[in-house]
Amino acid sequence: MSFETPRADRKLGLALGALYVALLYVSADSLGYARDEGFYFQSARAYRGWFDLLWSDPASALSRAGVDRFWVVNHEHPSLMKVLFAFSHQLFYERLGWIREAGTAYRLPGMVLSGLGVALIHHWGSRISGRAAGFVGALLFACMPRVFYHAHLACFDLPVASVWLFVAYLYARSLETSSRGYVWATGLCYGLLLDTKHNSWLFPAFLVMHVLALNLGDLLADRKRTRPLVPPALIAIALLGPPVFVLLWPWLWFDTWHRFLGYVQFHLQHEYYNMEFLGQTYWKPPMPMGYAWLMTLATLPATTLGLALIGGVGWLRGERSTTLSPSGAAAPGQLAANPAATTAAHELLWLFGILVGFAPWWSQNTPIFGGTKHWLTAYPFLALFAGQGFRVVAIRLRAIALEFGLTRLPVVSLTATLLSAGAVVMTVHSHPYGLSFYTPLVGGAPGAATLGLNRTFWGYTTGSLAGFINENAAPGASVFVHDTALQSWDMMRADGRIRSDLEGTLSIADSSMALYHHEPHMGRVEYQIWVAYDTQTPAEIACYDGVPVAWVYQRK
Amino acid sequence: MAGSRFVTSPWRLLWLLAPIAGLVELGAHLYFAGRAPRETDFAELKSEVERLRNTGELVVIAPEWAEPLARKAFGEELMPLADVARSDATGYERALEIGMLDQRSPELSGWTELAEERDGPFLLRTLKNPHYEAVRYAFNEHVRPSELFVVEWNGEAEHNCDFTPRARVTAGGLGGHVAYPAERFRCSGGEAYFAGVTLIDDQRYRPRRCLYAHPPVNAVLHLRFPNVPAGKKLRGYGGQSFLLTRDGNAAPIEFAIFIDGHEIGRRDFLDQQGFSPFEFAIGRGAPERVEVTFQVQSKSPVGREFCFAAEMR
Repeated sequence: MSFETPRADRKLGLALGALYVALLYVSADSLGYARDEGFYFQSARAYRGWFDLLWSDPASALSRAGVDRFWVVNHEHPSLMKVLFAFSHQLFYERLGWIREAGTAYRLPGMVLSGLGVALIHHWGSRISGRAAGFVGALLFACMPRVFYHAHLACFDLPVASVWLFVAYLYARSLETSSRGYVWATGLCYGLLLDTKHNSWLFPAFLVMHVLALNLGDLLADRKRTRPLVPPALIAIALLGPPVFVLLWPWLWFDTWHRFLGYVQFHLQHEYYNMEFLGQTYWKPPMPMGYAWLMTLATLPATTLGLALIGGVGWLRGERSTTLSPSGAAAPGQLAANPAATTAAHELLWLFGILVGFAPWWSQNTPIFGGTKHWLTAYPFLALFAGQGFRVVAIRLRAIALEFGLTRLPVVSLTATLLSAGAVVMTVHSHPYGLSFYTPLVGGAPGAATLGLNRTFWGYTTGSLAGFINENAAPGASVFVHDTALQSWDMMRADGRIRSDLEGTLSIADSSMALYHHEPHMGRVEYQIWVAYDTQTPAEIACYDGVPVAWVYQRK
Repeated sequence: MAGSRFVTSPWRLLWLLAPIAGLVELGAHLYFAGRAPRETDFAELKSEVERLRNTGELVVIAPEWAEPLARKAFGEELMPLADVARSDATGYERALEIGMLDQRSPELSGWTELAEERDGPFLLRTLKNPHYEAVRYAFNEHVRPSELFVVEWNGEAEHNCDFTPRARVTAGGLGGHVAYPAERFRCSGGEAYFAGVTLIDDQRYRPRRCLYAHPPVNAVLHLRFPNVPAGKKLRGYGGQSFLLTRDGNAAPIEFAIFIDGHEIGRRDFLDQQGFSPFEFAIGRGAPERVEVTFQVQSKSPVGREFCFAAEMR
């Protein structure tokens, strides 16, 4: 009785993850640097300075003054990813020279973690739902257009989704075995999760819900409990998580409690951003209750959502018997031989993964300051259920094919192709306008613009205007960068994407070329440009599927 | 095997819909991705718009989000700033609506259709305003020293605000002040205290071209147009940049209008109202030409970038 996936499957999962990283890497240079990436580049450089000091003068680096000098930068976010960005830049760009662009070198850790997330979905899905289901689940996760966009960035949103998934997986494995390895690994990795992004603090609630549901299930079914009331992994999380968190974030080494409270307060009292939704710009509570749900429907391929729904319903109906090989031939399921209760525990965890990912959006007080990226942690679990759903569909279709005597028809491969083709094509098409992409359910990008859904944010579409800027800006011109952070602009210059003589500026008056990234509330910036430049005629427009996303003005 | 086709419920065949749904989604994506007109389509439309549009006719794009493409393709002759940043469409006798994706402009709802023409992905409709009121005098267009005097009155003496055509244009960015134009009547108190035509964002974040008139400290601001053709009413809009004031709760901007020294109307503008309308009747028996004075003041004047657009009709 083994849950272990064959070596070939593990290799396939890793290959899928590696392929995803490769795709992200080769497409990175056409994606402009987002606003927040600029701040993280700056932070990574600062932290790198601390490591240099640690190497040359450890005593000074470890002193309070030494720590504060470097780690005060961007101390509202934990350190792990920014440190990885710094190391990646130092190793792959500076030392080895394997990566041509400094910005892409900073982005690499996020890409790798995204690829590992894809590989883990494949692995976990294969273990629970079968090889083909694992493959399709991983593919559908990789081909969520917004996931593909965020997976490129030197930010935290995809990394936290991946690390969250890893800790959940380790925890689930710890329930299967008496080995302590998974228990301690869960605790340690939870510390890494805490050090990745602040929404990691919701993770224990996710596990507690799972433990309560398992115990309640035992109680209701009048089953003798075979596992401890409180899983050891949960204790490991409590014991190891916070120390690892503090250990890896030097900012917390001094005045720990006060600084930790400051970190918590920053996120609990986060300023409200503006977000357009159905033609209205929201900037303060009450936020619309339908925001997360409609945006999920509008940005995830309907096929993926439909399969996840089928998978969820199939699971509730107890469909977890036969598994499929990719060829479509009936294969004795690995899990058919496994205890149903164990697989149910995994699937229940997936369900809670979705619920907890979306949980903040049950409150009308949760600020919608970044769109879909704030519930990305739910998407890997959704993809796992989509894999389940694929299995359910494929089994039915194979049965139909057999009824009709189509024994040689590669039903599973064909079904996988048909069900994932839309997601693959949409994802490829979404680049490099990931945040402007919308599904056919709302009429694509033009339909979303008509409905009044957010068209872009973070100023990354400057990348799509780089060609025009380079060709048309006067030598030494100052360019008003609008929503692009100056650090992001400077990185585009350093990478050679923007001419090095073009200075970014936040002053419209001092500029001779001005960028505008459209969001309704930003309109006043555009109107200021009209007055300052004495023209309301854009010189160039970056469009996605005919929808204007960002444009440029040139002074007359 | 033929006999086995009917062994199980035909409902099972519904599962075939799953892969078909995948293909339908792919097809729908390809359809929607290619449905909206591109920049080149707008560029090719320009000559047709030039042919159809009469002088003074408003060009409106539906849906609104495509307007930047039209501005780029058609240029400022077909879409001048006064039209693009209009207060409303009531002062236009006719409009040319350029519709696409089966959209119509809500602003032109109820207008009478005079002609309709399809041009590729566009539907061009010439529309007539059934409630047209001719604009006799648009105050925004007369902000120059020969036609406007701007003074601060502190209860004892008047202080003239001097006109300059070449002030340094400044703009505050997203959270900063509106653009301060080159042509302005400079008053006392600092850079923000002036009268001049600029743009603000209304409660839909749309552009509104208006006459900026910052209320002075411990004084009232008078904008005096001495030679205005009289009409039946004086109407317009007033307010401040909505983004900056939407959470505000400061003392109102007190706004009053005088014709030849007699007050014809007064209203208070509150922060969160955005760009909101006013309308006052002109009494019968007014001479052919009148002096119109707009008075602006506030008990909390600092940082109040009041702006209004008025027309004599």
